[in-house]
Amino acid sequence: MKIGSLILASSFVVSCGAPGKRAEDNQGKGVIAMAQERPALAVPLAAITVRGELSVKHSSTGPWLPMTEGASLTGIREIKAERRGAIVAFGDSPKAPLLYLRASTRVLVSQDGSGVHVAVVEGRARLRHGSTVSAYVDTDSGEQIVTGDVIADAVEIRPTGARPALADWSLALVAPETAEGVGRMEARVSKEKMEDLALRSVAVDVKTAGDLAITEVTHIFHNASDERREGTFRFPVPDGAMLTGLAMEIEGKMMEGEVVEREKARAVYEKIVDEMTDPALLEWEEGNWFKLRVFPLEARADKKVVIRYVTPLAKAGAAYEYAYSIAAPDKGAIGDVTVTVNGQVAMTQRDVAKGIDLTIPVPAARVPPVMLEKRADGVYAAVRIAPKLMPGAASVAAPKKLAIVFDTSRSSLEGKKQALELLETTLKELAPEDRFVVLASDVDIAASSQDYVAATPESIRAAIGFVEGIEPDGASDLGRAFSALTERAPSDIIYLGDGIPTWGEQRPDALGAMVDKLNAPIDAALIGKGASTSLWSELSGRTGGRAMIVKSQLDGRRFVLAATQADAPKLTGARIETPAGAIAFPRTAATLFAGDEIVAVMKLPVDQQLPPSVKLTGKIGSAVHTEEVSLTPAVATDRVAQRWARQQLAFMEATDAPKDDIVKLSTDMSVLSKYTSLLVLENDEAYKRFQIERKNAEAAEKLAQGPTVTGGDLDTLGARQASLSPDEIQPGDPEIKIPAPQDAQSVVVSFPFGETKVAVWDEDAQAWMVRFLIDQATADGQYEVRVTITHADGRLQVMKLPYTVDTRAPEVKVTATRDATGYKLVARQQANGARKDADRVEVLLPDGTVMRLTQVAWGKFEGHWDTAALAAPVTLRIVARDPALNQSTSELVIP
Amino acid sequence: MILAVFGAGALAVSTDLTEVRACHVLDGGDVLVGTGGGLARYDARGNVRAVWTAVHGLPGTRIDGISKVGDALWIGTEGGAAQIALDGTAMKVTRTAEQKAVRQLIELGGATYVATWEGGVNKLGASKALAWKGGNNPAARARVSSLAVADGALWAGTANGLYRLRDGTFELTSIEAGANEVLSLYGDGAQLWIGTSAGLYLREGSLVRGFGGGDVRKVTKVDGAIVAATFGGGLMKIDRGRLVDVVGTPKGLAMAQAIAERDGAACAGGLHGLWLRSSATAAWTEAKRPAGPPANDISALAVDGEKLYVGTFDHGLAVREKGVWRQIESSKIDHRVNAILVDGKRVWVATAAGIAILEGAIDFAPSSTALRGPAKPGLAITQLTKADGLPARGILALAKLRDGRVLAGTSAGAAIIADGRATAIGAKQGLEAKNVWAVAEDADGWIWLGTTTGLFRGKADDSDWTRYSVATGHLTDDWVMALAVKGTTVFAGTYKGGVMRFEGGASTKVADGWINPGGIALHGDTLLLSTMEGLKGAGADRLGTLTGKDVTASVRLGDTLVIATRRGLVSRPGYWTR
Repeated sequence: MKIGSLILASSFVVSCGAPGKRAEDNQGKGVIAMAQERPALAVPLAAITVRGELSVKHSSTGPWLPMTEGASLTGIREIKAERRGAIVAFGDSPKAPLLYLRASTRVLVSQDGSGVHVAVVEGRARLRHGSTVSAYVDTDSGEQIVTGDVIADAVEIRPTGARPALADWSLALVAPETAEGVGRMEARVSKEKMEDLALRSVAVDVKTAGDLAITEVTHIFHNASDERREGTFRFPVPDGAMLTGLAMEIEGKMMEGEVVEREKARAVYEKIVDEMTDPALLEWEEGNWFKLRVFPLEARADKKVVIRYVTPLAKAGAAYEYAYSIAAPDKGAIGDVTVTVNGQVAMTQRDVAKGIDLTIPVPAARVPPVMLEKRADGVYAAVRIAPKLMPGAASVAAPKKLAIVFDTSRSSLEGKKQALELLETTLKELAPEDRFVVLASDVDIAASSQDYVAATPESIRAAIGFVEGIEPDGASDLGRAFSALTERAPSDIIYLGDGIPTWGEQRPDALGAMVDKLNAPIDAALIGKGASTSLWSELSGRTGGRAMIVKSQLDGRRFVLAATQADAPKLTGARIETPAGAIAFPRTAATLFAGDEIVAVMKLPVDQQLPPSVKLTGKIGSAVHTEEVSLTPAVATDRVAQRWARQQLAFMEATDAPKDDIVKLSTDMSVLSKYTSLLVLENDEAYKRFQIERKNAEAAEKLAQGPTVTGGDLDTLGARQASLSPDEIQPGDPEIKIPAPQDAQSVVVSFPFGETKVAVWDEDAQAWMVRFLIDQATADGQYEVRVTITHADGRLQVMKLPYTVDTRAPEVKVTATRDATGYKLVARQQANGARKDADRVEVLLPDGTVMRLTQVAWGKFEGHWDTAALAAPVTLRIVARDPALNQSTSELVIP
Repeated sequence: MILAVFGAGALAVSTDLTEVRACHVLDGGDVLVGTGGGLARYDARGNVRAVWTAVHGLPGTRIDGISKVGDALWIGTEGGAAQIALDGTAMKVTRTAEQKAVRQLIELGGATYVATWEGGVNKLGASKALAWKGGNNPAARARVSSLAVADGALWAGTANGLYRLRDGTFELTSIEAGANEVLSLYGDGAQLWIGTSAGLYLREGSLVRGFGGGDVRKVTKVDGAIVAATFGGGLMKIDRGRLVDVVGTPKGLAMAQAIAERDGAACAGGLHGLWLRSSATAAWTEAKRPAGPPANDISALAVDGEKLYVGTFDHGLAVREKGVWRQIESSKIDHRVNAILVDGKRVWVATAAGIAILEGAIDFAPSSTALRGPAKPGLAITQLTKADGLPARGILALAKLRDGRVLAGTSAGAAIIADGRATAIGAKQGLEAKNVWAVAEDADGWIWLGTTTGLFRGKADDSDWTRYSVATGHLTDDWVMALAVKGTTVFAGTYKGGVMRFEGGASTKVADGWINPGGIALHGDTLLLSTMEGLKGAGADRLGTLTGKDVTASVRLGDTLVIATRRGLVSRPGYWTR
């Protein structure tokens, strides 16, 4: 029997998702032909920002040439960006049109007398007009001039501002590359000094549940030192994510965190810390970052930390997409990165030293229009509705008369710097024919100019100077501001401030009636600590604008795009009439562009059915729009209740509901609120001792069991629910541990070598276990086992578990460098196409002692041989080993 | 049952026939059954008439398929295909083909096509596999489970989808997302029935229709209806356009993977045995299960007088005495047995979940020949776990010390057991190793521990351990799987570096090979090595074809050499009296 030669990962990229491939279909042939008929780019192509790898071609049959940041090349016909995105300009002028390329994007470029042309063959690009040369996007129906900012893929073109979230990747390209996607662990090496631990692997397991993605990121850090240490784990969750879980490996067992009332969590944490045991309290650090104290980090051992969060899938054309990005690590490389979406490996790669930007398409068929979750306390439903609007093309917009209301009340002080930056960015977005005025608003109104003025550099400077000179003071009278706007009859309105009226008219209904009379869309950027969308979602939505909370630079850039680059047909004041008896969201009006959806989330009494249809109302231009939307049969979907709870909690927090009620809902639903925290204790007994219910642990178990499926749905299943032991990479009889419920009728494991085994319930492990052997003749490579669970009620569930057989011994090259006290020995693993997985290097010294070198990086080991100068050459024997116990022996002669 | 003669002796084979992988109704009503433990011929009443394994010339012991091609009967095994001729209880291999596992052979247009698992589809006699087009996983595409002729074409079901042969190339044909793992095919005129891990499908022209049914392992026609053997749902059939349960299917057939019918007589089997039916109106009856080991993956052997203790990889412990088998079932004995030690009246069983100690009589009365059943009251079983001081749950090796204590190797160091309590030997005692795969004590009282980081020598009561490793030049592989001691000489068998002899602080290599855990047996001066490449002897003659090449243990039982393999138990009576 062949046992133990297993490694749970592979060293090559299996596939990378890319939206809308069309190079081979008929639709794409039109734009390819158009591009080929035109000459290549006459203007130089300038590489402004290159985050991943940028390549260009001079002809369709020519080779791909790498292009580095700062380079400028002429005669280009084709461009592609890989791994991460890039920004290029059509010309060397600062005013040249800019093309943003997302990772895995390929475009054809050409130029004729009218200007430069871009045809997206694969992936997604954003094109921004310039003043040096006209820019066009080629489509199958012809060319389309770009006078603003558009986002285009192989299927559609839309104004970027109509759905700015689709352009987030491009906004990130103009910001410093910050850590994203994975957490980091710092270990304390001394009182003052912390240092980063090596990140051995990151496994991202994504399961879609309707239009949500449930992401579980498993980090394995390694403490390579010989000492037990204390660490701090920090993790960024993506924008808009709902953090739902945290688990940490403690003494070989994954312990799930639980949502606990904040003060109780703090008290339990302090008490346990006093007892010198092992708790962990997850806390918000800043922005989207969470912080977790971790103790102990055992010497020369791994530490596993799992974070779970839920994000919405992005709507892209007729389908959806899941995006996952990893920034380049600050130093070193991540050992393994695997991204699995719905059981399909989207990417797996070793030694990841550069950033990765993945977009994985999710077919619309997997996102049911009506999603349902039944619980004992009610029926939770999420209903997706898209208005019937013509797709929005990038159009030449009429000149704007833009009024910007700049909050100068006392409460705006904290956010003033950010508001000023937004003001400047917004004004710089305006076209030469646009005009603007800035109204400083507190209890009174002061205008930056008597009338609207053109957006010239001088007028922009003057307007900024005008608001800079006003000391924030007094209350905020929004009614007064709306009255002032009425007098000036703007075509577009932007509000910058915390959005909270504290003077004059403060009733939402009355303020709503006032904005109705303005006949202009209001886009609101809500800035500052107390910023809330509770009022402004309604005010913006009923006018055709959008309200966004702006906390970061990315938020700001997204807002500016939404406020200035969204000239497309839209449904304003969109509302859904939800059934009586339902506690439903959204409770405010919304603005929907073509292709957008509104998702109504509701809680119904247990015995109440969903109605056969719901009504969507709003306005298109000045015309009233009403749609009766028939509801398709509901599909049972995870996380609907939590999704509702998140909105309900936000509503309760905004309306100052009793704290006890908020804590109860938060802990019942395992959704964090401002009064709760996630707490991880060392074992089940500790939870019992402090009377903390194991709701997340149960939910994690349920998640691990995966969705219930039959027949053709099998490919929807996750891949990582089962686990291969021992310790994934240690020798021993491989065993598969399957977290199926004890009352399952059967758990059957089918192996790729043609055998089937029935797993047996293991009382100690509280899981179904099966052990297997690998034949000696098994070739190295990746294999997959299939686990079929027949539940007690007959439901069938299938899981797939990949494993890798590796019999290659690690080769190392050792150097010896003489120093004052002996020789510094450095062993470097020779990758030879394989991953650097050596975990032990030993050297036999002439006196017969064996010295173990210390691992200092992946594939690198060091040690010092204390010896006097050698009188004669000596030969050292070196033995290197990998986790699968493959060994190599070599010799080093020191002259 | 003596089945073959090898050299001066004869080999007796004992395998477990429980897992039925294929079956075929022969002329006259006998049934040929392909099992995980060989090819068996049953009479119509369910009695075994003969069993054939690799010892008898078949390319492999595990049978993966039975195909009738014209008048020829082909047996697909894990090691290739064999055309056989049957004459009562005699079987003769007349032709062989392929060396990889063969699932099925089929004839079309005068050519015979062979479906191999991992080797694609080959024309019989041709040297080159047929070409493939489509599918994103060539390794999975090469795993061909089945072939069928339908709509005038040859179809291949693979682990990476359904393929149709066109102009010498198999081209991928879509079924439905999620149903890309094809397990069986059945052609019926223009209709192609497709059994997949995601249910049963019917392809007719360009239309594909799904019927559900879960994991469909075999599709065929029984009593004029399409019947699917499903793994989890038993036998199901198409009735008025729906897939429904076959009424009267025995409960034990829930994990079905084989079914065949001929003139009303039928056979069906799966993970839990074989059922036969004499006519379309007769009920299914379970075939008799011959006595034998509880599974074919034998992991450990031990002898106590005339009793042979047989531990299996994941099917528990059994005892054979004078041809009578008795399985010992108890919640205190984990089904994953790693090692057995006979210690006077006690038998120690090392398992993946602690140690079980058996003491007392085992009932071998005729009524207790059933393989399954609770331990008899006369047999006391105690279990040692971490609560008793063992450093880990997984126990890998056992040895008796000269002072009567027992030494155990575990997945977290070693332990010495006395009076029901274990004392750990681990990092705190200076042992720089976790998994201890082999344990022994030599005549000088040194304790030897075979680990994944080399061989350690020390005394139980101090923490001064000497490590012998590849780095020190004493081993060719640090993973020491087996130890045997003769006086002060120690033999250390390694995972893939052969066997080293340790004497006076020096080591010399005595044999090559991949040694299995516990795989060194020393009988006088004869060293028998259980390796992944078969049984090897240092000082013994070579034993040729066994039931499988992966030999896991060997013991002496009287004058018989008993050999454990992954494909059952082989005995050679008279081996020690030659």
